[in-house]
Amino acid sequence: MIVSDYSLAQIQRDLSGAGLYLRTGGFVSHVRSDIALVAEGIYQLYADAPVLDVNHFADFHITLKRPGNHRRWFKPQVLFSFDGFVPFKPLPLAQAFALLEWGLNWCISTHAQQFLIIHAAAVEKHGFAAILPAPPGSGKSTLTAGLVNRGWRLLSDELTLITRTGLIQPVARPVSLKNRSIEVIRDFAPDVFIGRVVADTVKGTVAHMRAPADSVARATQPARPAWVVFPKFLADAPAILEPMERGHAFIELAENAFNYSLQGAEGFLRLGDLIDTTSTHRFSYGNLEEAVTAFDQLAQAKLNAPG
Amino acid sequence: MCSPARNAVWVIAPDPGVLLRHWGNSYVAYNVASGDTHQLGALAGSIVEHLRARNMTRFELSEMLDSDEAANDAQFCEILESTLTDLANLGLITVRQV
Repeated sequence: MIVSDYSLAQIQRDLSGAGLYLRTGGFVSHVRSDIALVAEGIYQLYADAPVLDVNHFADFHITLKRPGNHRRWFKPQVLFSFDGFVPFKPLPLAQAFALLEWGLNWCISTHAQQFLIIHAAAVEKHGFAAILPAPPGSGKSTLTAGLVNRGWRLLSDELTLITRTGLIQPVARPVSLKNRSIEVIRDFAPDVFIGRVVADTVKGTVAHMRAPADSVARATQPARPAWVVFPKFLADAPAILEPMERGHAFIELAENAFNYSLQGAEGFLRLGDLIDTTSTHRFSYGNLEEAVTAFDQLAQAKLNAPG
Repeated sequence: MCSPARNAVWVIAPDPGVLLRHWGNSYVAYNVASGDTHQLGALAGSIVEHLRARNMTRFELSEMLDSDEAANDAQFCEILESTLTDLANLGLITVRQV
């Protein structure tokens, strides 16, 4: 069963009761909440995610609830907790679904230490995956949303998980769009589902785009990395893909990894293996269609390459 | 000449040592003891690579890294000396008097 096999009322009832056991890639999240926005967000944005039986093993036990403070009377808030631990301050109630997403990212980045976790998006085509590490504002999520709406598989929007065998473990979850990129993606892919737009968050105005159904269905199939591409959005700039010195790419990847230092020598070796097996690039773009064309050409060239 | 300090032998950092990866002339080194990662230029990377294989004097290094002429080139020797000092400051190599 997947989320869309249920009604919104059923999802809401489950969340308010024993909780919903939701599979997102290699993880199972047990979510409990009586907040309507959380139920709505899961119903709309996780429509294709498998729902597991109650009491299934879960990696993360999460609760989103209204804190019982005096603010509930005039400024309702939402509180995220993980196994009873509260890692963040409460946020305005309108940000409840966004907080679930940020909280899930926190759960993975702090607990899934079997992976080398890179702050990067990852997409795949023809069996070859591109890792897109970039700081906020670089156009990473916009590029990712553009690519997955043109036939690329979404592996992850935010956290690229490298396994011990050098593969990427997918975490196909909603893509977080910020500020102007929300309208850019609406224009680029009018049929895509984008959830509520929430203003005044710490990240500006945010909305989440539903992950493509095929990407969610294939979320347990790892992908082999072929490229590491550092994207940069530059208004009106042509799409330019340039080779990047591998040593430099290594250092920038390490800086973008959540647990590189924690992994010690193994992290160094794992990152070295990743650089060994990929080509490394910088990519600047100012137009999403041009960017997708450039990536398609990259994938086609790889497909046509001998061996 | 690159060999005024005849009694000085350069050695890689003691165990747990240094891990090294390179792609052409692009090197990264990992100091296992400190947990620090360093991007190294071609010369520094080559020095670490040679010292991981065996201990060497500055003269032996200059011979391994370039031709005999380079070993007698004052500018090269100066750069080699400076690079050895930098690598020692990073804790990747150390000098031993014999």
